[in-house]
Amino acid sequence: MKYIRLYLELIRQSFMKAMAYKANFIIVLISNLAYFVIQLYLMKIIFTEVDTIAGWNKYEMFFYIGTFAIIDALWVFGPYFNLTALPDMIRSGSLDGYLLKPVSSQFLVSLRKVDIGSLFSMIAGVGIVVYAVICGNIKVSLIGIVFYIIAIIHALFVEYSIYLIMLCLAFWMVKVDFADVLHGIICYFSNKPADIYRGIIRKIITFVLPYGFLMTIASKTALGKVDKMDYLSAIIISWCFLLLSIIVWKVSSKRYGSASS
Amino acid sequence: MKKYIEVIKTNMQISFMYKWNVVITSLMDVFKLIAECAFWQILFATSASDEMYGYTLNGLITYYIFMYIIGAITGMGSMGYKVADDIKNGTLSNILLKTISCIKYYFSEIIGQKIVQLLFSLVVFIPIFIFYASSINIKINLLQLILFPFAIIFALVLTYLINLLISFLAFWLTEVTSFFFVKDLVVDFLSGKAFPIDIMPVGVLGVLNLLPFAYCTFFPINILTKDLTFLELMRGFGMQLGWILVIYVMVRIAWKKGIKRYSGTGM
Repeated sequence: MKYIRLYLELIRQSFMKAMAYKANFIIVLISNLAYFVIQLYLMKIIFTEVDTIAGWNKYEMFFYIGTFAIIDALWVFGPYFNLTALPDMIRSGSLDGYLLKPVSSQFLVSLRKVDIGSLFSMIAGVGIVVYAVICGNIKVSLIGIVFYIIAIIHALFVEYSIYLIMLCLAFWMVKVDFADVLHGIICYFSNKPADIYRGIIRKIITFVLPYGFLMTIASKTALGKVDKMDYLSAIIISWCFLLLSIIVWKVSSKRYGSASS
Repeated sequence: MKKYIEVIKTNMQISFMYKWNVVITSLMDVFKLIAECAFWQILFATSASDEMYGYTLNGLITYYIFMYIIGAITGMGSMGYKVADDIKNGTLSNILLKTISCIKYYFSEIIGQKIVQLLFSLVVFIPIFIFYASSINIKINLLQLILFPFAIIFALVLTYLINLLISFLAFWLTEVTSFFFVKDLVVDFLSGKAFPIDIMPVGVLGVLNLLPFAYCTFFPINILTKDLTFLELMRGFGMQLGWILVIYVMVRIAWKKGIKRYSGTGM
């Protein structure tokens, strides 16, 4: 409960800061949208030649892209900018302050600032999803929506955990910024449903870097096409990643603490 | 001239120090290539025909391979952010105090970086060439082969000027990073880096062929992969040179106006 109140306060403070930079606000919104508009346009062209791709029709594909837009917006809203600031915080020593506070340092470091503009991107994502449902005559049930939202939250768990683990490992082992690179690659493989991949790529996307897998499951849930065992596996996998991230953070922050004294 | 060569040498050394960053960026391109090929493969498997939008599957694989390599050669990376930073933080003054042209200075920096990047990109892509050897379709005659390096050089200069012009926005806007991000997305899309621009409807393609972006990446790729007629080849070069001239003029104007404003803010 304490963490919820804390998060609401963090949101309020970020909102006030964002209002001071209105132009930046709008530009961030446009940049988020530009990427998805291009993806949608490509799909529109592709579907003039085929009716389905790996079992997904045009509107189901739009639904997937809209889901990606929603999850991406929430990623940028919450953890993204905080995590990208982490290496500098470690180098400058300002991480110390967060380790000393009485709440979880992982929570603070990951969620201390929010990007309000992303809420608008999320609304745009919801717009894409609603458009797909209406134009594609997709039947969505209330249960489907509930499980869809749960799956989206778990997709965020996976995205966050992978990024944080890479960040911690990169800092301790190699001086190369590969968290961003890996994240970029994962996103590239996730901008279309996992079903289009086969063989070893499919296995990697499902078990090792399951961001795309989670997104595919989320979309399939709402579309009513998901397999119950797949859904359960997805949830379990995402919790494994989250727990791994908590362990890696605890180990890393202990090591950081002992190094700076 | 000597001073610029020094700048090139220094930047080559700096880029070499960051060689792993270059290798990783190239590896990222390799993964993107694999993702694109997987997608097009399933598309062709689903559709009944061997050809889509005038491309065969091999044609598309060839397109993407050369797109990533040419994109690596002509890509301006974080130059825009650096120029914007120099303007915002006042470090531009260090360059202004020296008797060199900023436009030529930044270009020399890029050349230094590109030489090293090209080296490492090619090395990383060698396995790709071997793996996809049977899929690669090249259609080029002797004249086109001789002229191809020029197309690359012109594409590099054109991309540089476009990026420089946009980064001069930093003279007027305080916060440009997010703008650059949109710019990268949009320019990449218009130059054929998201997908070949000729899969788009004829009307849209017509407009894009008048804009400079198609000549940054798309035109050089086409020299290699499409059997361009002599007329098409000359038209492409004409557009490259024409746009280089136009954008160079715009850069000079923006520079003059921007520098006045820069000095005016008492740096």
